[in-house]
Amino acid sequence: MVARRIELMLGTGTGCVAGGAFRLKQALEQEIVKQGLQFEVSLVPTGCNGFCGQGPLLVVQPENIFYGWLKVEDIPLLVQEHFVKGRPVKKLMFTPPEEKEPIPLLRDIPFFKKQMLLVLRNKGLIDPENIDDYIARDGYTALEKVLTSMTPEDVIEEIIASGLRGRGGAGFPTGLKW
Amino acid sequence: MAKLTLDELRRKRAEAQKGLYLREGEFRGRVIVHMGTCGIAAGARAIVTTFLEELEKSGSRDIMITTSGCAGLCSKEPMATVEMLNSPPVRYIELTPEKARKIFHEHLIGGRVVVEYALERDSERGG
Repeated sequence: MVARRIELMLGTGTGCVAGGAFRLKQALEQEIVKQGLQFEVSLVPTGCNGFCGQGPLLVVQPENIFYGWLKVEDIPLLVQEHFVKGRPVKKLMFTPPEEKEPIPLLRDIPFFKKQMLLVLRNKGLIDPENIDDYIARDGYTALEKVLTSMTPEDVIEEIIASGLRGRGGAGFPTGLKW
Repeated sequence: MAKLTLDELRRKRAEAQKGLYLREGEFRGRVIVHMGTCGIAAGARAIVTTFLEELEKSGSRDIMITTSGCAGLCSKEPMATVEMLNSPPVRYIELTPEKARKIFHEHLIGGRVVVEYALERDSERGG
């Protein structure tokens, strides 16, 4: 693998797809090649990022810049200005309804800032269709742990202590199923 | 499909983690290659490519290669600014791929400013 300098995390959850994320993906891929950035920039489709009201959306890493409500016709300018010349495009960033200035970074946007991710800590960080991304973010470590260092009774105790419940509606405690 | 052993899983994980550093990495330093029209005309894109090649060869995962617009000193392009954690930024001028390679190894990896290629130290703040 050759070192890239930019990764484009493109939201491809249901909301973003309904808003045209796959058309954006195609436009981005074409424009990246057209402007000769195919060895510098990679495009990563991610699951739902959560900020559906801004979709289709894109997060540019490593800078953490957030773009929302993207349209196919915005792509040439975005690629040229931001990815070639390093000038993030203000007019495509998120501006809170009551403010005039946009908030460039995802981590500074109140919607994200107030979240502490536990179960969804990989949201927007991995391509859900790429198993290597999952493994890189500690996928299968729980399985590894239970198979190598815990007895079945330990596992049941741990599940009870965690408070994990079924989501079918009755909320049955999972640890009591065995 | 063949069964995966625990050792193989761990190896796979270590390998896969290298690929994710742009999304979650902590950076010790960064290179900003100035990519205004003047920089591009003077060869800035080859400088970016050189830095990326050296980054790959070195295996480092804590250095960011990035770009910015015209820095206002068009006659000295291609230029790049190196910012290391807790050190003043250093601007390098009239770069070639050879100079970029030397800057990568001496400054970004080794922590020693390549004085002969620098415009002046602290030029970003001292103005």
